[in-house]
Amino acid sequence: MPEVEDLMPKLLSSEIKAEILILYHMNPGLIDTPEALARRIGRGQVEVTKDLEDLLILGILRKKPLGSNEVVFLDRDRDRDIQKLLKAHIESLGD
Amino acid sequence: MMDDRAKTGITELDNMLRGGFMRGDAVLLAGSAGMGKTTLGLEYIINGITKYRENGLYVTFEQLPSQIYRDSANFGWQLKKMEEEDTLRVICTSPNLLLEASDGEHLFDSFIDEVHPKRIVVDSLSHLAMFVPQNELRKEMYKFVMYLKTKHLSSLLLWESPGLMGQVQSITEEGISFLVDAILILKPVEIESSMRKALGILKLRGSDHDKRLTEYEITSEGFKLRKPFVEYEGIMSGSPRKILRVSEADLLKSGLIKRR
Ligand SMILES: Nc1ncnc2c1ncn2[C@@H]1O[C@H](COP(=O)(O)OP(=O)(O)OP(=O)(O)O)[C@@H](O)[C@H]1O
Ligand SMILES: [Mg+2]
Repeated sequence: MPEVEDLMPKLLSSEIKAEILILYHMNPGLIDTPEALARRIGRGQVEVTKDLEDLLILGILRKKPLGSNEVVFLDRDRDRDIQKLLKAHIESLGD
Repeated sequence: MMDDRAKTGITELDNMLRGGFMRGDAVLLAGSAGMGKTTLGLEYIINGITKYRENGLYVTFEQLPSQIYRDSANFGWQLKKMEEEDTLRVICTSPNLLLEASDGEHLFDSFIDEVHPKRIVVDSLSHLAMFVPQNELRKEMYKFVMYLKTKHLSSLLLWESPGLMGQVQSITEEGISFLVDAILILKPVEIESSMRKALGILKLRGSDHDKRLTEYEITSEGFKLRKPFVEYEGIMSGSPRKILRVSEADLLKSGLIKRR
């Protein structure tokens, strides 16, 4: 599990990353190709693929091969853990 | 022993089906836009979970799950809670990914491992069919339905059929009615210039069923079945009431069978 200090900048480093995360939080059962995700948020495939990498490294999203495609989906447990971590971090800032 | 029927949980509909759908069967629910296909599909899944402890998958292509969560909440159905309890998954994907001839894993496999569903709704099979070349439609649909059967899922496959509005339009050359074990239709009925809604069972393999077109409404609590329709001209002319029945014409109009 990465340190929260490393996590925050990674998560907030781009608008697209935030858009992808919001899309998955609102639709946790979304499972689709990077190209389709780009279409869904109305962004270019290249930039989306790049930002997806960071989220995959963090483990919030995962990908797996499916036939000739690759599909990206939310790791619900990991996402829950990271949300807890962030919440604790934000609360500690308030102290 | 497990009941051999998968009850919809809508009492009047289960009565029309003489107990429910046959377990493990593939059921087609055809209807034109806005007739309540999604609502009935959701209710089938929700009732499975809350009344019969049968977990479910709801697969959507057209609508994002967030919209389905919102609309469901208006009916008092708490889908998010069911997902947290691992009794439900609302899956959103691109149709072509379900057709991938991936010899290994199917897209649904991981969700099946997670919630061990007994029921599945696909919203909609007609949308899936749009991604298949005409000459492969039968084969691909057959493969898909067989996959659901090997997973012992009782499936409700939604089919948007503009033809049921009255206009004759064949959706497929071959038709896919032979692939499914049962067909339900939702169609508008115009009576004295008001539009009402009718549900009919066109076929139910291996079972008797109610043959009458029955009125229904969508209320804030979901699907509500009313009385079978009677033919109004019959009443006006004083001749004996004739019960409206589902006909082969309905099937033809829906594009589910082809004209010979
Ligand atoms: N909370 C509600 N209370 C009462 N009626 C509702 C409610 N929500 C939806 N409806 C009715 O249900 C209709 C739509 O139902 P639904 O979305 O299930 O139809 P559909 O056949 O799936 O439509 P589509 O072709 O858009 O997929 C609405 O037009 C409305 O009349
Ligand atoms: Mg719908």
